[in-house]
Amino acid sequence: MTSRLLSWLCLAFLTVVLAAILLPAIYAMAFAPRVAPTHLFYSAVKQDFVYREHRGNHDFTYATASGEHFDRKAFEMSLPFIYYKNMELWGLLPIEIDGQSFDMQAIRDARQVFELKAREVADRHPSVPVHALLDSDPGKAGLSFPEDVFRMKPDRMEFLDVDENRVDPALTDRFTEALAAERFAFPARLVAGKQTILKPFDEGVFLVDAEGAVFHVKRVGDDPVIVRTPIPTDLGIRSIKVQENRQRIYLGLVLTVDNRLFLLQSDGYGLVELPSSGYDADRMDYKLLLNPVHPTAVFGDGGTVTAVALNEDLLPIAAYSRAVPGTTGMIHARISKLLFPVTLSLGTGNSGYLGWTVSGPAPLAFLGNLLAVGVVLLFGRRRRIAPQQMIPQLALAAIAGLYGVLAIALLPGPGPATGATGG
Amino acid sequence: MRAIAFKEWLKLRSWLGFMLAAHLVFAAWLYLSIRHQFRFEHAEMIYYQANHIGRIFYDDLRYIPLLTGALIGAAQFLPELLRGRLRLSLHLPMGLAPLVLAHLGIGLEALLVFLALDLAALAITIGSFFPAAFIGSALLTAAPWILAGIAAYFGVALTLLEPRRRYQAANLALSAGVVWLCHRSGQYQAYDLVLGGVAGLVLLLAPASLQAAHRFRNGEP
Repeated sequence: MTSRLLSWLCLAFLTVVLAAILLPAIYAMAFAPRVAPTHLFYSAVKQDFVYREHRGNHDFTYATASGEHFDRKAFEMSLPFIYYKNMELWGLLPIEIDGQSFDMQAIRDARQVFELKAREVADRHPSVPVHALLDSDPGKAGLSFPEDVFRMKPDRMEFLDVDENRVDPALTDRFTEALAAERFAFPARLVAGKQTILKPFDEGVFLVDAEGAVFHVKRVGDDPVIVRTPIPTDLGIRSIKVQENRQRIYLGLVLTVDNRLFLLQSDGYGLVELPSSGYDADRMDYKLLLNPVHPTAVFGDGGTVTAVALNEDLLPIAAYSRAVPGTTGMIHARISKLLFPVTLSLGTGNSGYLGWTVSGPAPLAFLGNLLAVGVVLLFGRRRRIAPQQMIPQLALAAIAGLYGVLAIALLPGPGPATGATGG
Repeated sequence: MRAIAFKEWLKLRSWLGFMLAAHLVFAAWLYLSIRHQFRFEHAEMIYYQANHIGRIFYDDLRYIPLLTGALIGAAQFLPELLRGRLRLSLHLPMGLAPLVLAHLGIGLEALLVFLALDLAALAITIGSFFPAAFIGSALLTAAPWILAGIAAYFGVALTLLEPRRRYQAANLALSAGVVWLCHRSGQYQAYDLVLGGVAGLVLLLAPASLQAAHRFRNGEP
């Protein structure tokens, strides 16, 4: 292979890659309507699943799973535990459901929302393994950050003074010894906590040790308060999302490597398993709506959304899945499949990391590629170039379709210039 | 090859001296700016902003490699082209590919010295105020910026070597596209999983220059 052909191949490949990223993105920006995700809930009023589906261009559908359609106001009225502020404004509270009456305060007191987005899973976003351990009992209103941070070393929990960027040996020894007293096996597998002072109180951090045991570590002043929890060591914990809220019933969510999700109880660190059939933590966001009656778990991605209605013991009583309409059936999407053999993107999607995503090729793309070959042949004929002199260009058009034609049009040809195609 | 290196050294030395001074000034600025923040804000809040809000305290570095790469490329190839000297070099009794790659190698080595200096300044600065884990994070965050600098260097060479305006514009757009791929995210360590792929695309710009050099030597339309 001559250096000239190699050089042309490099340029053509780069052009195709950039075109496969930019052209579909520009096309979508110009022609694709924005389609909002489907909202799916269980309505305690209708005793049925209700949804709001968007098909772009202000085309919304509000309906129940059994086919009853209604307007937006009726949709909100069917979900009084979500739209309780509107219900109050419309004079519809208190509302009676299942023989119980709920006013605004009762709804507020009972309502809790726990959410785990795909990008929040511990290994799906970058983080620097240095953490703050707040004073959980600061003796004043409001929390504040300590003037030290900690990191988990292979044999100790090491504290550093942030003003001096130096190890604090006293605090390090105190916490390391307290962990050892509770039979903590170094090194730690996972550190999980909510590292903010914008919360009503602090529940410290959870550490998963080398054997899978979970430890609850809090700090009072400079003293450790450590509990070895009864959470089974073979649970296979992947991520813990700590979520302090005023009800103090649950501490957060625990995700396992096999996509099971649990609510972590404050009282005794009990685990309540949540419905997770069909849930994939790498692709889907999960939301648990703890309503006064009929709590609901909702999870999904851009393709489907699933809601599971629960009873007061958080056991499933009904489930409903629905395909998200998206834009795939629209005319612009069909033209896109013809024009663009594959679509490439470099984006974060539902992760904190950038990733390459390739979609396609759709069956229509082969037709598009054939057209591309035809265009190159016509172009060559006008310039009186025999097809056998255009084999690299024809191969490029056959493989990369429109992107290949663009590369041929923009770049000089692979051989010495003879007035040939693309230079 | 030594003669080429000496020729390039004579041509670039004043520029390299200027850039060395500029990079040293930048290194001092980077250190002082982070020290300033630690003096004026509580250190624990800076940690919080760095780790959990994702504020990049060394963001001033972001476009320095890009500027350096473009400047070295221009300093190396623009005088040759404006004064027509490169055509003479391209007719030396040595293959065109080794000759062009030797020129690119020399420019790249100079660029890598400056980029290494930038990374060292970053590591020393971050290491002076944050624990070691932040150094690794900062270097990984800066890695795509470094790749953007290399892409800018190769891109300028690719553009300037091309004799025809139309293809110069295409090469410039292509190089800008590769640089753009290196600046797709402002989040720290966002490139951790794609660094290899992006680096591969950047490196493809080096052999891509050979065709432009052929066309330049042959005076092709």
